[in-house]
Amino acid sequence: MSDVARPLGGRIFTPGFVVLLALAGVSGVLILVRVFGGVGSITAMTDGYPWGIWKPLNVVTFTGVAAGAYGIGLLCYVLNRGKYHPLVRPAVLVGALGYSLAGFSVLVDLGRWWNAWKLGEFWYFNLNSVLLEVAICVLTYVGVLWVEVTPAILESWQSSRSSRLRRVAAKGLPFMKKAFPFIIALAILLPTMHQSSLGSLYLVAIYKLHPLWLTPLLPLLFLLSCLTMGYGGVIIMDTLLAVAYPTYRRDVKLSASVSKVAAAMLWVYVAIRVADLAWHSRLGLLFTSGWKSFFFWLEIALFVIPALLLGNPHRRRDPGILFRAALLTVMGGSLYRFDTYLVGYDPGPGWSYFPSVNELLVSIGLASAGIAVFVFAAKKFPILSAGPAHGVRKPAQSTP
Amino acid sequence: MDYTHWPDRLLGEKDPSGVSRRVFLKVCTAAAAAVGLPASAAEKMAEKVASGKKPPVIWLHFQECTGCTESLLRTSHPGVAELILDLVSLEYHETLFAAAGKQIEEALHESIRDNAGKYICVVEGAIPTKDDGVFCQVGGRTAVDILEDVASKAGLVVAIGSCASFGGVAAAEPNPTGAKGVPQILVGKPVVALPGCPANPYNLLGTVLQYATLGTLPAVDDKGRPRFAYARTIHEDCERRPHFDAGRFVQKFGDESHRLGYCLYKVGCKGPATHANCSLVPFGEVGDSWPVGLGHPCIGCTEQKVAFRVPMFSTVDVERLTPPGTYAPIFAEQGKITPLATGVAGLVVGGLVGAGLTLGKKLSAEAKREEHPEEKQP
Amino acid sequence: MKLTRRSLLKGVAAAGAAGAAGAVYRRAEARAKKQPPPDAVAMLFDSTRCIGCRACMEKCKEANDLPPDRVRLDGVPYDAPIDLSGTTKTVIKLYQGSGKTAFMKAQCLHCVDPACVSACMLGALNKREYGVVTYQKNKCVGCRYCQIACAFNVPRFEWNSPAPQIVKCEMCHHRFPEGKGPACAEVCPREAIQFGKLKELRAEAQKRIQDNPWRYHPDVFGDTEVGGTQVLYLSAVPFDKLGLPKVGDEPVPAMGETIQHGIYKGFIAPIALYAVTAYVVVRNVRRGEAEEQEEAARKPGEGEERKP
Repeated sequence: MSDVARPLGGRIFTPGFVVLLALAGVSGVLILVRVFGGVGSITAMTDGYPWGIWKPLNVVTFTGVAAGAYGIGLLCYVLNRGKYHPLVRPAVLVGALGYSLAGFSVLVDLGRWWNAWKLGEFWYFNLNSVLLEVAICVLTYVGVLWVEVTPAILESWQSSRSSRLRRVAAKGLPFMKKAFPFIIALAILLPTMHQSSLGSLYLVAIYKLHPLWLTPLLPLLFLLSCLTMGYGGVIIMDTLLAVAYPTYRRDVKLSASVSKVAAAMLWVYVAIRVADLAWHSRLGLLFTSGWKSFFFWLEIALFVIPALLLGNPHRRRDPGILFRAALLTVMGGSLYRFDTYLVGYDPGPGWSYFPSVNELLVSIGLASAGIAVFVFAAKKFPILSAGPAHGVRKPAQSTP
Repeated sequence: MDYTHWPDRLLGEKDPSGVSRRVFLKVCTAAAAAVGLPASAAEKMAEKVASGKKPPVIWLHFQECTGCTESLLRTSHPGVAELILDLVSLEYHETLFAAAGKQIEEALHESIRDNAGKYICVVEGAIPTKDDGVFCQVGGRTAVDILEDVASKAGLVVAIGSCASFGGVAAAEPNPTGAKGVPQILVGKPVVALPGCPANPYNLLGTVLQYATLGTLPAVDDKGRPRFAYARTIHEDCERRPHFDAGRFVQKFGDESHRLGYCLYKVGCKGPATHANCSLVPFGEVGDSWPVGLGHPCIGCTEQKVAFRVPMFSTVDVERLTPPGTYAPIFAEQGKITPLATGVAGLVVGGLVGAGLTLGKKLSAEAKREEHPEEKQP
Repeated sequence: MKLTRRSLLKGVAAAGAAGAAGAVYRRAEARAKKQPPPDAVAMLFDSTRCIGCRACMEKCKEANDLPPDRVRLDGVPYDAPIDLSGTTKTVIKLYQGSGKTAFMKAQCLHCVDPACVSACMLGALNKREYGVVTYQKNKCVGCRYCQIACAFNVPRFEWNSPAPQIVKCEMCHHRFPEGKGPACAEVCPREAIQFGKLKELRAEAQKRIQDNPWRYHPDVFGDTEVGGTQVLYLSAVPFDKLGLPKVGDEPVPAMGETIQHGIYKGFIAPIALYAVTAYVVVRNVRRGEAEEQEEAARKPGEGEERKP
């Protein structure tokens, strides 16, 4: 099986690509409106629900999916399973894009975004603030991810027509190779810190977060679910690329192997979740909390069902089951985040919230922008395992 | 104010020695309290009167209806006219004086000469400025000339009434005579303005009382209006305010709500935009002797921007917004959920999930076909 | 011991769970209880004295340069906020129920251990002189985490402004240098809202309950709730009827800070994790290179280029 990363090639401006750009354009216009009209001019956020869907969706869910870079990095470099190498570059690109989008989304959401540079004034740091840690970590991690992407760019410059680019590549690649372990270690440390802290954020809302979600184990649960989401995201990306681009070389066994790890983590998550509720004698709430009970059961189902699906090695090799299980895993992780940030969060009587259409459009547009950039990069740079652009279509499944 | 215990003033008697000191002091104390001066002012007042040191007053009339003088004369409990005339030495007044023609003009010039720098110049009526001010002349001199002459040697200039304060009705559109108020003619010179159509005579009483007894002027705002009378709007102290707050309004003149004395805001009351004290100090001893009290909306006669400019029955904006009679609930319903948003969200999520599951099914079927190629294809 | 993927995952999960659980379930001893400053000022709102005149609301807007919440009822304009907002720092709310009527003055409670101060990244919200919780816009990025944190939903945001601020009662501390206290306490005709020293007002509140037990719900809200607040409430009806949430005595930021500091204390855990990871990766890379060299030596020309 060839392990060579190559640009996918092919036309950039396909109809699908144009649709993505259009959606991104719509969100761009809305963001402009927000800059001049305030956050409330395009969102339905209120003082009771000051974090609408932009935080749980654009920031926490996008980065959860983008945590595939973290998850694959753990498998490949820390546990030294080299076979996952083909998945690293696309996962890292998804990571870089996902985190960049999340960071950009934060800027759009911040009311006084021009003060964001003051996060560099460390003498003002309030070390009690979990959000501060998240912000610094995420900002640093975005940089690390893009640094991780540079080898792909440098490699494409190796065969560039410009001699200057070739020289840069000649110098840059060996340097990157040397710095590699220290960058990777950072790329493991930083997500461990902030993905768990994204859960710790809600430890402060002790009187507003429902006991089904409020637990000291929030950081651990968020960390586990970000890994499952990340693996799910990688499998989804792998599948969709195979479906969309004939030149993409896919090894289903690799995805199946990743899913095995994900399945184990799904079970660990569910076990810890239920055990924690039992420890605090809160199991009764699973049935007596109305809407919230429903969402909790849905959440657990979205973790258990994929875990069951992926339990059987034969089923794991079925790309359809793999894909569906991965989808459920990502949905489960996302729902857990939505539940913690919105469903389980109760500011008191009188307050209600649902995102406005414009709010949704911005999220959709940002996601579209991310996908568009990914596709563009995959076609232009050596990110993915690919055969020649005009090669024969190989079946998506590989040999036993 | 309860006037029943006040002693009758001897009408027409200008000689204070004809009244007992005790009675005089009682009246002075009540009058001082009415305009916010301390009780000690009454003592000082009596002393000044007894010592004969009464400040001279020269009262000029220009483009006016004499309403301000008349409103002064119509008071009786207390008799403001009498009080003022006891407190001051009236040197020149075209309405009240029996003399006329050359004699009165001579009296005027004598008084100016004798009391230069000490007299109070009260001006009633607007001053025309168009065509060199020919539209108002007394004794061959234009109003502008007379004013500038008399005011230049005065110790204090008081503009009584809206016409003297800013032009009043004489200056209403299109203002054919170029009528202006005293502060606009005597630019830069301190002028105490007492707008109103007519001016509330008790405001003149307060100003003159303070000047005559303490020798000081009341604190004034940027338009020269004494703050004790013009700092607050009618709306802030109106007797019908509870009706405004509770949402009870007169809809039409003569209807039931009008009979019940509801708030006149909707039929054009300018109270919320008008600075004056008519609601606190009525024009006469009869209670309710002010427009709103009688059932007619305030026309904003003290305000240059409102009086004779904004139609009488048009509503104005409220200068200082205040809460209504209803309260905020303990838990207010806040947050908007639109069906469109739920629809869009549902469509997107449903669409993505549906597409994903369908794709998954397709991939599974493909995989099965690859694994068992001998099975027949449909 | 062979470091298999499964065993490592199990180990990580177990260690993580144990570590987090341990840090948390021991939290009672972890964080010291915060005390108010010795010169702490306070406000006491006695709902039984309030007649709902709302002079406090008007004066508050005047003293803080806030615009009215313009509402038209039947075409007539009023200043009628329904709740705290970006233009309203205090509001009188009416409770009517079970034959009782009571007024409630909603405002910032200036907690002794404020959640908003704990949450604010750069300290825009800070507990300063006399214990007043103040806001400084130059350090605010508008993240609104303070709104999530506050158990009483006090901080409000200017949602429709391109340069929004967080808005909340700051006890008119800008008037302190002039020798004046909060505008609402200054203007209240019935001393329903009073300003003074925390020690004195706490004692006064207890005294009122003792002297008039028939008049009051037997509790002072803010004495111990959420670790104590510097705005105290007395009421004839239970406090939840007035909109005050049912909170315990545990300060709002206690658990979060304990866990966060438990995990990151001295930055030891992150540095250790980084060191271990870097070591493992270096070792794996070296091993990988050694394997490649071996393969190249065995089968020349068939070596595949492994890319990071």
